[in-house]
Amino acid sequence: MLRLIFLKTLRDLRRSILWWCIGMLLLGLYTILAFPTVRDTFADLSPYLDNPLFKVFLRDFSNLATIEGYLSVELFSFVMPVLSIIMSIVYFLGLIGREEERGHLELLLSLPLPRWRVAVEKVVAALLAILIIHLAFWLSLWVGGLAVKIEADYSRIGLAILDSLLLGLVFGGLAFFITGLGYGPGVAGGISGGLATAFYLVEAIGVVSEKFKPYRKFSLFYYYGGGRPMVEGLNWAHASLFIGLTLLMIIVGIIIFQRRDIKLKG
Amino acid sequence: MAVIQTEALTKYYGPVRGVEDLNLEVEEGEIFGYLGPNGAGKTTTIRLLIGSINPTRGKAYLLGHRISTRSFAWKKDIGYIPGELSLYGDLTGEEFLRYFAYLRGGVDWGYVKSLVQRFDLDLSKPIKTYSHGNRQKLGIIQALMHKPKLLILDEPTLGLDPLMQQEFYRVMEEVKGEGRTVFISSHILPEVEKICDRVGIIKEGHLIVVENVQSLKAKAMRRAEVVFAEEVNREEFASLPGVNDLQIEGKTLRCLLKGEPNAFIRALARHNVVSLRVQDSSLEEIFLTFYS
Repeated sequence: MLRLIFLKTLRDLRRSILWWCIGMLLLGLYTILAFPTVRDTFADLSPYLDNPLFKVFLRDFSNLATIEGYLSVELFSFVMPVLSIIMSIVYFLGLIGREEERGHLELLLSLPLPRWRVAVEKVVAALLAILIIHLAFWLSLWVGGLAVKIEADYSRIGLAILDSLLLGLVFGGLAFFITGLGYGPGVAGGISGGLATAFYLVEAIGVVSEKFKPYRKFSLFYYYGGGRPMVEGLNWAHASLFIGLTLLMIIVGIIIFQRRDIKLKG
Repeated sequence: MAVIQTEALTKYYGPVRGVEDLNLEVEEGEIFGYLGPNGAGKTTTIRLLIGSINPTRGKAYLLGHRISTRSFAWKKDIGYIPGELSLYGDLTGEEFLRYFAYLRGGVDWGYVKSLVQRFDLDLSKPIKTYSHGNRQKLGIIQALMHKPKLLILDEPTLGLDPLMQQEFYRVMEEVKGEGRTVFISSHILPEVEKICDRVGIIKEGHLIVVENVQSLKAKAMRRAEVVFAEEVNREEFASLPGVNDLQIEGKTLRCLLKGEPNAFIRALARHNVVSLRVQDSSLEEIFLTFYS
């Protein structure tokens, strides 16, 4: 029964959540089940991995023979943060942006509800959806790892996933903020995705180029741990930065949304 | 008591004028028709009243509450149909109404059922399968279901068949009978003439007239057609006060009469009149007069 905007939003996202979960489950299972083969193949290559170019992708990990190094290369250096970012942007830009574009907000906001409540319920639903998908991914690694008897600290793998999720949320928060200003989902997706790409390039180039090294701190990817949380645990200062930025953009987005004109059906 | 009150309400979209210096009062228990062609500012006025957009300057009060995009408590007493009604296509009609009923804090479902019956709507189907008319019926039901003190309706009968339009007029009469207020924007002037107590006409963002429908019609020109037994002299009638657009073809005189017709009647009395027909202007003609 639809009694809350939160439940209606989750209902709207249900098919998307299902397909994301299936995709992430397959990715997780494929990755973990392939590890024993990859471990044996790459064990001999470890001496070559000191090349700085490799570090763009591998960060501090040079040993693909370990589950941490393998997951870092295969997932947490590039694939996982990219998926987390895309997922967050897609979910967050639709919360206000798509509803407004379709003309649904006009009638919904004629109900005796504060605009902030409408926005908050939608944000909480999107956060839950993203959390469910990341949890499904963690479960696939855990179940797959148990199936092929890979010994690993799965709680720390969970922290690496959490780190990726938090990075993604910053860009999701940015997309929400932009739609909160009144721009459409297209603009929000473009700016958020473009900025994520720019940040990634700054970090990637900064790793291999001394000239660009000082600029790395301006990239959010600099504060993203990649596979490091599997070894060192989560850097809570960096995680707090992600959470703080996300909350800031969501809160400012809601404050502006409260005060601005609602656009007619696009 | 003024249920709707605006003070110099103005909205500009950047340099583009929406409405300007709108001073409007709608009294409790009346049905107020809001007329104007496309782009005149009807929808802008309604969206300002419902708090969807901010005024550039001026104020609006609904049921005594100052309206802004942040205020919301007063909305419990408002029923609204936007001009471009956009509903959740993936919900069934019943799911949609129950969802809105919950968000409104509960409604009398028996009353909802009676409205559904009156508007002959099948609630079991997904909204995306509804015709335009059925979507409009659903919009009307959601606006009425909590028995609001004030209904703000932007083109509510758009897409309704004539039978359903009649049902809608009956509901509006009941709403008025219960002392509730309706602010209705419509292009269908006979509809406004039929159900409204007063009308406001907006032209290029400015409210140019607010008048009781009957007195507006009384003040407006009447179309007269007189057939005489013999031909009459044009000059005799052309100089009469209140006679406009005089046409004489053989023994037939046609003209538009404005104001008191006494001089015209006295002139007629000097002739042998075979037939006389005086027709009130329709609201449509009055409306067109303002826009011509």
